[in-house]
Amino acid sequence: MSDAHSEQTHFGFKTVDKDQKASMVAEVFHSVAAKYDIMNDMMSMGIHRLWKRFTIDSAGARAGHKVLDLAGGTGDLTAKFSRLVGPTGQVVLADINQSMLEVGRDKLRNLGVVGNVEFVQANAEELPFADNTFDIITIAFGLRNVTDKDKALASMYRVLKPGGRLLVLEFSKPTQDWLSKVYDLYSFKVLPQMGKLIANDAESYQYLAESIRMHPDQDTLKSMMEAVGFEQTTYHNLTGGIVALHKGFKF
Amino acid sequence: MPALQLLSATLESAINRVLALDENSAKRLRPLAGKRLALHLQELSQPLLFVFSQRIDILVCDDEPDCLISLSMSTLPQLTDSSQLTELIRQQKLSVRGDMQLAQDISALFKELDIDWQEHVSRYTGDVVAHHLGRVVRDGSQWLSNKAALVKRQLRDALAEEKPVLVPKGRQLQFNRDLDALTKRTEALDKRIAALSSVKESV
Ligand SMILES: C[S@@+](CC[C@H](N)C(=O)[O-])C[C@H]1O[C@@H](n2cnc3c(N)ncnc32)[C@H](O)[C@@H]1O
Repeated sequence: MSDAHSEQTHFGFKTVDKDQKASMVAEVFHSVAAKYDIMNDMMSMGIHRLWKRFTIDSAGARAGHKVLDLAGGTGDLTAKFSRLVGPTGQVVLADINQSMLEVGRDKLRNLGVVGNVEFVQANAEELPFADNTFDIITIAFGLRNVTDKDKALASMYRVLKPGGRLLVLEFSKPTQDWLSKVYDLYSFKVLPQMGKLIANDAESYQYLAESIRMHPDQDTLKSMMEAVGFEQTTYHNLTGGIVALHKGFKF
Repeated sequence: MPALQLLSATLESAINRVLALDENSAKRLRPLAGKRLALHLQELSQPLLFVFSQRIDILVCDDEPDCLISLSMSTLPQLTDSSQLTELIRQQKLSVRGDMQLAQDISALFKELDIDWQEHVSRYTGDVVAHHLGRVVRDGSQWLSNKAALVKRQLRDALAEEKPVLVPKGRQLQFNRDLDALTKRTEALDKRIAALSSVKESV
């Protein structure tokens, strides 16, 4: 399968060829798209809603702003941003996976969100937007699935307007030992079983658990953001560091 | 857990549900679209920002609003009576900065809410039950308002200081050991299930 020249990367705990990963990730989200929202609620006991609220509260969105909800999936953040930026603003929901975008489109239509939302199938590593386009970029629970995170962060930096901010909401490293242990138990034992019961898909959830562990910790991600140019970079631990919100500005 | 976000989420869903019960709400919300009102409750560390569109979104953030209202929680219930606003300001229980008209419009929005609770309940239960329930609710509301004062006090205390929960070191170590044991047992169980499944398959 892999010849001497191909580059390798992580897919959960497995090592796979780089050009294979994108399609394997797509496969995972393709298989979970329909049940994605239910699983989110079950897995996090609804707390993911509060983490997302915290992200939106930190975004500083105002009427007229242009927002990119990257790896936006089924559009949880998009719905709220769409109301906050109003008819003079715009929200772009971008995701690599067409099935997720479609579930998102239906959901937003049912919520009565239309008009200022655009749906774009895009890879975070090569964003198809002009330089200096957005006031705000959010990527919630998306960065850990991206193959080349540095490239993706640089791409986000490029399309952000000067004065704009990037918010990265992602699983991170629990700050307490005991919490780490509960969390490991939960995500490697309980989660895949739940995935099996509800979505009949233990493997995808096993992948999710593994990908969470492979993701860079708080300080590593902060320095990765700084390396591509972000300034005033900070992070805020949520729920004991199970999740962290990183914030950085482009000036 | 982000405690203020739990509060804003709960409040937001309650307010929008109540608004949705009056079919005129959509019409009354329209002129307010795009407006932002910040409510600074003295008991909370950050203001709540009410953003108006076809519904109301509540953010926990101190971005610049069109109108900023500061008050303590105990004054909150009196806000629905817009005729009282000037009196409250005079008594310095309430301060309003910015677009005063916006504060009054919003107060009016809630005051004009016309919700036939009996009607809504009857949709689920039938008229007779709704009628009786109406009476029970009226009798109960007295009791409730007494309770509400208590809850309000407790809520205020709880929100004023998000106390970190301290666990004694010994308890924590024991907990860690228990967890390790549990993990081992789960793994063992996993193996047994795997073994049993393979037996079943080979039968
Ligand atoms: C866990 S979901 C998060 C969805 C949404 N933001 C939320 O918080 O509910 C991750 C999303 O990232 C998308 N994704 C994975 N790799 C991507 C990439 N390279 N570029 C853009 N989106 C990607 C997946 O298709 C999926 O919809």
